[in-house]
Amino acid sequence: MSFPTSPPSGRPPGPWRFPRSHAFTLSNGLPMLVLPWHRLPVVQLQLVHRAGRWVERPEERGVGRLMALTARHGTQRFDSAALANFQDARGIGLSSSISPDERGVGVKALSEHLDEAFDVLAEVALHPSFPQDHLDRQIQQSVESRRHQKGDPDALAGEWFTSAIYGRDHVYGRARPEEEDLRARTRDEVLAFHARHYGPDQALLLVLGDVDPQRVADLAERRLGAWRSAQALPGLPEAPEDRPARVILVDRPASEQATILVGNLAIERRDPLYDTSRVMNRVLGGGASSRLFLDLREQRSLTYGVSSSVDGGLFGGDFSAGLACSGDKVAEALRGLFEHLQRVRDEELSEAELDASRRYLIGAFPQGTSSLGGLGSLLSSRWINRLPEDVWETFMARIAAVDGGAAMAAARACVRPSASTLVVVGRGDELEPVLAAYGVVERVAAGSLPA
Amino acid sequence: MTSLDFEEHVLDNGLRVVLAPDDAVPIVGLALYYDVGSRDEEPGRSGFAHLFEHMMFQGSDHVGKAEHFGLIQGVGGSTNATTSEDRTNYYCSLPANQLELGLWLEADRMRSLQVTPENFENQRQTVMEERRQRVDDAPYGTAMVKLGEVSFDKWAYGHPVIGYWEDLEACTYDEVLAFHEAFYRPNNATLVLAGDLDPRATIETVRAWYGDIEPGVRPAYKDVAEPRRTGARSLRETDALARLPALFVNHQCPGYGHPDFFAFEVIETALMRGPSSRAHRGLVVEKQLAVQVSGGYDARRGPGLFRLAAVTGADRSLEELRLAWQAELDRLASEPMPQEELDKVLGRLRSSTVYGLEGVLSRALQLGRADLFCGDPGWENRYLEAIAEVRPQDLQRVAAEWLGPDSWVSMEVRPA
Repeated sequence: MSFPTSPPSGRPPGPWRFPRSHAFTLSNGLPMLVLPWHRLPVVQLQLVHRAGRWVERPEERGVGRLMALTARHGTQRFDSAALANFQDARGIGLSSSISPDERGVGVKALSEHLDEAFDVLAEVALHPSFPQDHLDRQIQQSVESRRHQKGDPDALAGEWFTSAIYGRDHVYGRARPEEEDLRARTRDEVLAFHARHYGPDQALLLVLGDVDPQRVADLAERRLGAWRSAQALPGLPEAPEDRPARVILVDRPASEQATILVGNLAIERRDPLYDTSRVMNRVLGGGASSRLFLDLREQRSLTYGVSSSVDGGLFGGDFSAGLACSGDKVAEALRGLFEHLQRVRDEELSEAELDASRRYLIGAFPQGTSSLGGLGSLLSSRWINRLPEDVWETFMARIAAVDGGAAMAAARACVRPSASTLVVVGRGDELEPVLAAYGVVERVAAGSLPA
Repeated sequence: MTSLDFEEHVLDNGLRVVLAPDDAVPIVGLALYYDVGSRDEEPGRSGFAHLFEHMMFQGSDHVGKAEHFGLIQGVGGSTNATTSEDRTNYYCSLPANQLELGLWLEADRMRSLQVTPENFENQRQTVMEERRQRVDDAPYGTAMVKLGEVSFDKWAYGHPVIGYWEDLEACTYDEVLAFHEAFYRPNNATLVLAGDLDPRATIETVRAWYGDIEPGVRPAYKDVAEPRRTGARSLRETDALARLPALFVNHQCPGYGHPDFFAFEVIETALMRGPSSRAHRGLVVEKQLAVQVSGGYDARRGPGLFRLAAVTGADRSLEELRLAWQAELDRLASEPMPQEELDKVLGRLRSSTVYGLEGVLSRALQLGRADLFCGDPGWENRYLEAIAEVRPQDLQRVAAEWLGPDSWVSMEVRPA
């Protein structure tokens, strides 16, 4: 066989379908999905709850973060050290998190430790004791971590960007809690927050891995069946409204590069255009064969990495594009960025671009379901975002149906350069004259707060 | 499955091939390891191995500039490459029906590079921006370069993989093809495929597409052996980009292949991995001397480092933190580790070994590293057995020999 002079075309793909899960409901109403997966003796439990940071009241900023961080440092049955030892002796991984949209407790273990994995999940999710000394430590470390974050140009750009386009009152635009918020929180507030919001009525239990569904159902009933309902969740946040475009220069005098982020409000996760926007974005800035990457990096040598994304959540969504480059390249980089944002709205994508984007998304989808983490993420996203039951079974067919007209409609809905906010983190004196071409420049110090 | 089943082949031109079939999911992972890293660079050419890695995406006989990514992504795959001190690897994950595409792309650029001076200049500029992003504009970034320099006596391991500015500016287009000729030969590489594949058909294709690539003569390995450090060295830096003080402490230690490798793996887990680990409990939770700690056993093919990286609060003492860290190391030497703790470490390493088998690409990467670093792709399958043989007295001896209070390098970094 001589060496081919063109790429092999590949064999026909084998049949593939989204893995089937088994649905149960515990006696207290907690829904549970069990997805058997027997490749390895591993099990993953995820308890997902709708009470994300959006349920925080304005006067209790930071309480959700402190609740999630401290929950793993003391429960009814374990103190912090005992829980850590219990986990490590069995190689059990534990996560306790809260995002704007959801609260999550995740446990990963060898399947021989399924019972103990349920112990850890139930203790952390249902019975945290929030010891005062560990709460105090989490407050102190959150304060320090916040300081640390203000040295990171990507974090600074992201925070100023989201606060500008969503507004600080919206849960997606709210910056991380500051020192005064954190120090004002009390153990009573954390206890009350947990008691008020977390019960089985707004939660989903996912169990994936090397398990027998019926045995899991029995175990879940024993460990979580007595969990009692919490109060009803508050009314949902209102959808964000467009705000005036801004040009924000975050002055970081010691910067060696400028970090650029540009974008605008776009569509939420449930929007019918969401899948189409992924096809469109793939062409614009969704990878190493996208227009932005090929032009700004591979042709013009302006940056190491450039990309764009459409991010949709429960309560809104945005489009953004960003890169980092040295200060003397900012003018050309911005011209290039805005040219591409305008072009994707004005000109229909070529058939070759569309085809490559569709093929990527369709081909990559089964790979995303080859791990427990990938499967769990798809199932929890379906539930949190209230997506249709068959959303993943039909994903590839929906992507295959996206045509040029639909992609252009998605581009016009998501990419709006004339309404875009521009955030640049870097040396103020060098960058301010360059940014003046894009509007009135608001120059702020790196350590200051978005207003 | 809790271990890796594989078969090995060696082609006549010296290319080592490892196949690890598993049809549980219709995916294949491909990893191609070249035995070249930053330690092979000559003084004055730091960063060239990494810059060359970028050049491998700039075109070959049948693949145009930047087409490599497009071809892989066009079938739903993903691909990338990394360069370290000890090796350069190229890898991709593909739908199983596209395995041949990955094999063809790697064969084409092993056979030939077609790059232009313009492409070389383009990637030099790209790498310079990468260096700005990862080092010059990152809190603690430049301090890390200085710490690396003083942690090794020899330049081979002491210079940064990303390279020095003056060297990135000085290197030339003409050196690209010479580097390919010297290091990117089949007898200097290991090709690994894991996942849903037919071993017989796959090795036939590999033989057909790689078998006629001419082997080369690899340049001599650099001597990376280090004299044992005697004495401690403490450096202080200020960093205008950092917001919090940080402490970095490096002890010398041996690398892959050394009899004490597995004892260091146990020490790393006991000290640094998991919520009950000694450093996390002692330095972060109980004494609250640090906001976060990271680091551990930086094992290399030559001498390695045992590292601490700790960020601490604005009002905390870095010297107190360093002494507390050293006290943890001293305790390893002075007190035998209780069997219960040793069992806990074993349990944690066992579960992390199983978790590491979840993805076919991670399997391919493990096999490739084991083949290159240990001369045996099956090394990972014996890992847990070797860990189980580590005794408390081994840990005491190793800690006393390598992690003592008089043989470290530390760097304190404070916000400017």
